[in-house]
Amino acid sequence: MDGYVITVLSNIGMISFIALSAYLLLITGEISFGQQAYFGLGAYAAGAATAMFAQPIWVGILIGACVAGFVAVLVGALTLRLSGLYFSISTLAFAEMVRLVLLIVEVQVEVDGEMVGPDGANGFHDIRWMFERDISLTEFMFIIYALLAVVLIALLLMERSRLGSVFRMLGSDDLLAEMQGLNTVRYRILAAGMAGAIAGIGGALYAHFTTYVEPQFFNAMLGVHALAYGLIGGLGTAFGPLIGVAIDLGFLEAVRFIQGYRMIVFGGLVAVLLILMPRGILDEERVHRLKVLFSRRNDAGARGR
Amino acid sequence: MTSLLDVRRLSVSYGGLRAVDGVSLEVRQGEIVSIIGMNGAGKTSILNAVSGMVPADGGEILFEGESIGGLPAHAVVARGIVQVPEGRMILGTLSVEENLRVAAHHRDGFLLRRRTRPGLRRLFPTLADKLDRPAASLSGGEAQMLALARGLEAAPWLLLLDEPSLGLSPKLAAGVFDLVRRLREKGLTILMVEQNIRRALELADRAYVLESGRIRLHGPAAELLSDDRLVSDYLGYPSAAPFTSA
Repeated sequence: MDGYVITVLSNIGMISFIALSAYLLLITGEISFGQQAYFGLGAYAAGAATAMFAQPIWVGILIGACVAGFVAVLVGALTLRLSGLYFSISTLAFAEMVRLVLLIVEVQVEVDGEMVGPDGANGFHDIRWMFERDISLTEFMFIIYALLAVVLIALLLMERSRLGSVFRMLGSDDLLAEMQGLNTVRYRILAAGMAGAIAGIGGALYAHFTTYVEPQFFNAMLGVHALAYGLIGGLGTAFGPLIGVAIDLGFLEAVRFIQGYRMIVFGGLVAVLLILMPRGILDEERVHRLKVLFSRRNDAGARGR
Repeated sequence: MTSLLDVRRLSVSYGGLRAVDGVSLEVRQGEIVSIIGMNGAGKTSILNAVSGMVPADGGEILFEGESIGGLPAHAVVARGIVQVPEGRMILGTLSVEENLRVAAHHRDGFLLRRRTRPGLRRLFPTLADKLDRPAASLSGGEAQMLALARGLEAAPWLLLLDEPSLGLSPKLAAGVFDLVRRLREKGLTILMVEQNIRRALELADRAYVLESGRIRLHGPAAELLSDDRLVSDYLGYPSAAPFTSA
């Protein structure tokens, strides 16, 4: 595989984390325009752990996820009383706040005679774990997809469990959920924390893949895309947002004749899909039909044997 | 019999309009109690106040002797009071089983226990065969059964039923009332709001007649069923004596 393909595939993998993060909140009925903040916090925290304090990347990813998840829980607790549009605006405001803070944070330490660490608007350079360990882009891509598989499987299991039903009930009608005896406050904070941590993992990987991050990358457009992926791909299963990412980054960005028009095509696609398929390609109904189809096929196979 | 639920001088207002005005009622262990009255009399508001869905602006709500006024709805459910809301309110995109599972706290509840679901089969045979269907595919009667089943799955002591027969054909409604009767035989206590007044009175032990947020009549259901005032105003039969104020 050439470097370009690997880069595209890796980007798809890394952006999938923030798409899953926004998706998790979407199924609980909350539209967050601010998941890019947790992606950014994960990137900075993980980068700091490996580049400034010489930790292995696993520790970095864990720290990235924890920092992002922890901040998401705090923000979730603060914005609990808000719903709908007010919640969405508050997430955007918070994410912009994080970005602006990262623009002025300058904390550097000396590593091997060089100053390493977040340098305000200049970004955070030399997150060189990959090069120091002589890890190829291809190998790193496998790390990305291994982690994505873990997160995806965890989400799919979650959706089949009671927690998944609870999240979806919260998303359709939180008064009804409260009436069923669900502590909606606790579940909302839990969802916020999980979503933050998932975005944080993506950010942590991103920092190490590019070796360089700057606050500007974690702007509102990233958050809007993260939301759109779930809305395009579908809210019926965690595979949905991945389809959204694949369409945007795999097709629109990678196919050369569309390049340059990507945002125009993407915006149009979102608009058309929201009219024709308001809950995305893989919405709850299609997911159910697919499940029925698969279980029938398995039954037929079992009888044939 | 001891009083399980004791509502004292309860008032509920919406934006300055008083929907429930100093209502006192009690529900004893093992009883079926009906609240009947016209649309807008404040029946549902009483249930919502008991279950913590709307704040009361006056009065006391005691459950097993302890005040539960002001508790959030989920904490009221944890005490054992479960409301089955009007209009079913089941989630169409979730399967029947998922709808039930949400209410079963901590582990599978009575209905979902064991693979063969004996509890569900006994009480809700039509649902047992449709566990993995989306709830949106259920008929009105089945949806009401699911709403009831979900209420039971939260392991209540006191079930608050809001218009269980609404929108159902007489035959299906009879099925729902029959189920309510069986639940009481199993030891459940039931406070029910119902539009079908004759049915509600036939089923209940006692009843309260609500008018403009106030209790107008109350007593054993059998007595109310033959009370002239109720007959003339609610059951639509011409009464021998013209209406006189209570």
